[in-house]
Amino acid sequence: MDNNNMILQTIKVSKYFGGLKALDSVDLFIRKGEIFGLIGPNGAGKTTFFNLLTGHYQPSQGEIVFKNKEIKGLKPYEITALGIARTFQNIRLFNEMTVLENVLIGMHCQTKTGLWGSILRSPAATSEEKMAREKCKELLAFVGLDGKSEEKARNLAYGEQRRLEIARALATQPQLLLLDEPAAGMNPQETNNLMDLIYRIRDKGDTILLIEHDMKLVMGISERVAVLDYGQKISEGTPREVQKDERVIKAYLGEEI
Amino acid sequence: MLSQQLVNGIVLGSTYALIALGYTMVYGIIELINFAHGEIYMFGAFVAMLLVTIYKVPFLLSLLVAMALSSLLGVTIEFLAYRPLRRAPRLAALISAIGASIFLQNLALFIMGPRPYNFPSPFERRVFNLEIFAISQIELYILLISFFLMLGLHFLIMKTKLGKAMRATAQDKDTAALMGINIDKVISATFLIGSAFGAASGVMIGVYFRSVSPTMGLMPGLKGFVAAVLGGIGNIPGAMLGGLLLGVAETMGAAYLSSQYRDAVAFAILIVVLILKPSGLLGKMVQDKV
Repeated sequence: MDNNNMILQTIKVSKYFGGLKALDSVDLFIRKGEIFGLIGPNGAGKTTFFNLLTGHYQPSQGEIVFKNKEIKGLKPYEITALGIARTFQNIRLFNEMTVLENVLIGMHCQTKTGLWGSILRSPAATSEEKMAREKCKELLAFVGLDGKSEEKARNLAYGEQRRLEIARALATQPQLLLLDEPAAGMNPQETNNLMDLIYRIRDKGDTILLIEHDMKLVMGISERVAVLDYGQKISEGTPREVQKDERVIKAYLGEEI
Repeated sequence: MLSQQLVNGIVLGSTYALIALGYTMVYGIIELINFAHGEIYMFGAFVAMLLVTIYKVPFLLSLLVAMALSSLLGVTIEFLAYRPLRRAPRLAALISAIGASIFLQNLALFIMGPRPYNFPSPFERRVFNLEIFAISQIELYILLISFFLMLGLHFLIMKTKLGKAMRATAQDKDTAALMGINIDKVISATFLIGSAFGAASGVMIGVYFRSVSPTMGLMPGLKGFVAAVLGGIGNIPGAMLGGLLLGVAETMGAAYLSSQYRDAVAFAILIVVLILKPSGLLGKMVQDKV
């Protein structure tokens, strides 16, 4: 595998919770600039996989390499600074803050102002704050939330909250964006808008790793797909290949009696 | 008479508010009642008293130095006594907090001895006699310093990057970490600010009552805690409001009932609030996550 072309690789990554093998030596690689789908039945270990990538959990075994750097043992904020961002399956916005503030928080690790700078309002801090605000407004426009910046996050409609989460993740300037069931609970119209948004993010140069249950969405936009079942990778390939795989059909539909 | 008591109450209440802020900020971020907060208040008062009496440092400068040293103490306590227990059950950290409080109090008793020290007032005994009430110079200073600090805190929380990081951390630590926020740093900053405020309160009360002693933090510590619960623990405007209300209620109780009921009034208020509105005056009912 060409190292320059690869952004993320996991090598025999396992995660045990007591006796439960949530993930069992999963090998995966993701190329720069691709849209990669991760699917599997409920409880297959998809979200655990995300939690390992973002440093929330530490792998019990195996290695995670991001941009040719081993990231095992790094704290979540350090991994964010390296360029991985995520959204959540159940939306986790800062509900009591405004839309703009939510995105500004995402910008946090990008700005350099320290404690004293922000207390004393040094010129550098002021201009940096202004730049951050401009950038956040651009991001909000990018996801289609311009005009909502002063509303409280919890007052947004469901689909808008999803898009705000994406904007907030993009504010950390990731190279790899992890989306955890972004289409959950969306109507077909909203799902179409979301697909369009994901394409636009990819076209900006980001790599996208997507967990999704909406098969139409994930098979429609992913270039490659991996399937997890009971913590193991049971299949990998283009959407067409995966859809025909016997083991995948068995995992989703059960065996013939 | 009434307006005079009101002013006295607000002066006392603003010092409670400063203490309550320390409790409420720490609780907001790590859901811990920092019982060592009263000792930080005491430590601050001692530092300022020693600077003023032995080194003849001007009062305002002593206040600043006391705030700075006390914030270091607060950060150290967090690092040694609470951080190792971050993932432990909450009760463990609470017991550690009580231990830190007892340790610091006894350390002060050991070093300074049990008797109270005189804190000479740097202020003239000037009293401004207005139509409806009188206020002494030192009371005026206490009010000004307290409100200045609280305004500054409000600005910090609402307008600065650190403030945003603190609010984000209070709402959801995991998500905040994913936004690139160093949670440990935010927690340290919270202890730093809270301790500085507690120390400011201790210094001002020390000079107001002209007395500093190792056990002086006990009662105000509890009162500050009551004020924080009264306003809704974890809620910053709530702590300010709770402190002022408690100060006024206590002064009124002392004036119109009996001065011996001073503390009883404070704790009776706590009980009533807990029965009628357990989340505090400005607190929100939060349902426990299932």
